[in-house]
Amino acid sequence: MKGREHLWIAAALFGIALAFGLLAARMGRIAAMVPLAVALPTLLLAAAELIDARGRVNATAVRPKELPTILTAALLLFALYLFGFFAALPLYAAAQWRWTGGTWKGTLATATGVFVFLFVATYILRFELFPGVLVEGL
Amino acid sequence: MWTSFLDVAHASAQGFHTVFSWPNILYPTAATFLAMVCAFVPGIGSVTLMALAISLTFSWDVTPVMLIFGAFTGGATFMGSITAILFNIPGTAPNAATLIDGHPMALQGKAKTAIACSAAASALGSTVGIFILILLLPALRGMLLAFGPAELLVLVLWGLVTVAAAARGSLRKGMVTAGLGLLLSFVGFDHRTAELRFTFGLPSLQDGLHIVPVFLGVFAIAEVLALAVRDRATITERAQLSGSVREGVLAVFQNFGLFLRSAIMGTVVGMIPAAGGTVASFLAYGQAVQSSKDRSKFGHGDIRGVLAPEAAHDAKDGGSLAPTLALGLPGSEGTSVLLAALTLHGLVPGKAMLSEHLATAFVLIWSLFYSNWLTSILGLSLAPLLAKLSISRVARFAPFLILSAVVGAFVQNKSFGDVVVAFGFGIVGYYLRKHGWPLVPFVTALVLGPVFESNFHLVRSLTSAGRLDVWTRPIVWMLIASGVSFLVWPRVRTKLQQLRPEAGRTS
Repeated sequence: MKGREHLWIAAALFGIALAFGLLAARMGRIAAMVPLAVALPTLLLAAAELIDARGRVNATAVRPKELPTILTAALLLFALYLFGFFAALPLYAAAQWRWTGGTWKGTLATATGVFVFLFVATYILRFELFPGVLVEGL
Repeated sequence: MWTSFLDVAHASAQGFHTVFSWPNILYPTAATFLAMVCAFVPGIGSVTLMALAISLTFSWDVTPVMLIFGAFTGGATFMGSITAILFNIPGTAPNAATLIDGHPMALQGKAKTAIACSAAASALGSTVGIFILILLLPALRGMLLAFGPAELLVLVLWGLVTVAAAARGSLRKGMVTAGLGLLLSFVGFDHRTAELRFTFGLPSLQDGLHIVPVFLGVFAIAEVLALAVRDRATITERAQLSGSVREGVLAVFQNFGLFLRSAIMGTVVGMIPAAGGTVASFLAYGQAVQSSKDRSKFGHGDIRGVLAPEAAHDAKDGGSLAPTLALGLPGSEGTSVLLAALTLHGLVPGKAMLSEHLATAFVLIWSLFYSNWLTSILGLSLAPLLAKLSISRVARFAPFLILSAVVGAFVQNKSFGDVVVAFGFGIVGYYLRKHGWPLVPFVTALVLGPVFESNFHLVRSLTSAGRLDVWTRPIVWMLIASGVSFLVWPRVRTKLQQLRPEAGRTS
């Protein structure tokens, strides 16, 4: 997979265009008119790009920190969903601060700063942040 | 004509006096500062502020309401470009066009120049927009009606072709991402047929994909992921900052033709109901690329790529007031909220607004003007300080970028689905960018898609009813000729350049 990443990307884009084209073909005439007119040339161009990608050497190296970084982002998303913005964001900021060599004092200040910022922003601008499914369920 | 130039001049002077007198000046000043602060948080732009202000100012007199609404419109416009330049995060959706060249400039250590250029282009662009608005006020209604659906349809196509062809990477890749952007813009409920399209049974997709979370994902989250993966210590690749505020300001005057064209384009697009600032910025960017002799630098930190969208974006504010005041049709999201505020305070757009209440309309216009200049002056003075952020440690501020992106994605629609969309597009954006798929045509198409489809159906209905002949409209022909020449000319030029040395050798 790793050496052929560019091929997978081209194939995925071709697949998306194909899926949209097939879905559009099942819609009513008026609703499908513009999506079909867009999907068909996109599909042809994506197919041409996919054919070209098969013969091309992947020049972009796979980076070692890629997977951990994306997993961290996914973990943050899950934490936001579970614990909400007020808990997950200060914790994430503090963890990042500490892992990149910050002092404990700095870590605590970061977590507090983020929490206060969120609190003040939501209070002044009168909007609510997602509380997390755990808090919502209480 | 409802009003003569003399009436306009008199009302303009009256409005000017109201705005720049004590203590009235405090209202736009405070509102501008508030808008500037909020613009730093992606997603909380002037529209959110204006929506909040409607309920807060319900019992106020009409003059302070006009003063703060004008300032809200202008205050957030420029500030969003700072986060776009420094962190690849568009403060507001139209700033996404600025980051295409603005952020590469920051990477090269020229953040100071980019911010200064953006500030100067913003202030001068808004002045051009307001100047055109004042000039056109007496004859506004007739002019607005001359730009119909056929012109708008071809303008959108022109913008898409121009941006796809000018994007980094190949033209074919640009066309594919533009096509996918258009397809994604059709997600949701189709108002013409009451059909759900491409929602995959998900209720959160019934309203369509919201632009702000997609932008934040594709630009901000993808950028943070890229910075983390590359393990870079600072945003800029250089240890020292180069460029200067003076260089940025001078760039506007050195490219004055481009600046003027962009500002006029922004004003005109602003005047088209529902077109908005994002359309204005991206079309101006496309126009900058198209009119340039050397297009290779665009997308790699060309200052003209900062100048054009910023001038258009700020000029659009003046232009968007035209349909709001003359026809009661909002030219942008901000003016749709403004329209609600005007109506709540008993001001009916149209003939009365441009005759009896013309002085009140000018309070709004001058407040917008003042706010645009105030933000730009502050931006210029803060540029050296802000530019230093690009040499501070990535690890320190990356969490804050994620924080602002996450909050920005959530706040507009209060939907956690939007946060998921932002993260999803962040990962997609990271991989597309890594493999040289241009993202600018994708986001441009996402913005222009609904405008394209609605005008397509409008033109189709009008043509079949015999009410419109597209091919007799001169603006349509001009835009088609311009788009075709943009696609064909580079190939012709390359052929000519290949032929020249051969001709020389033969002789």
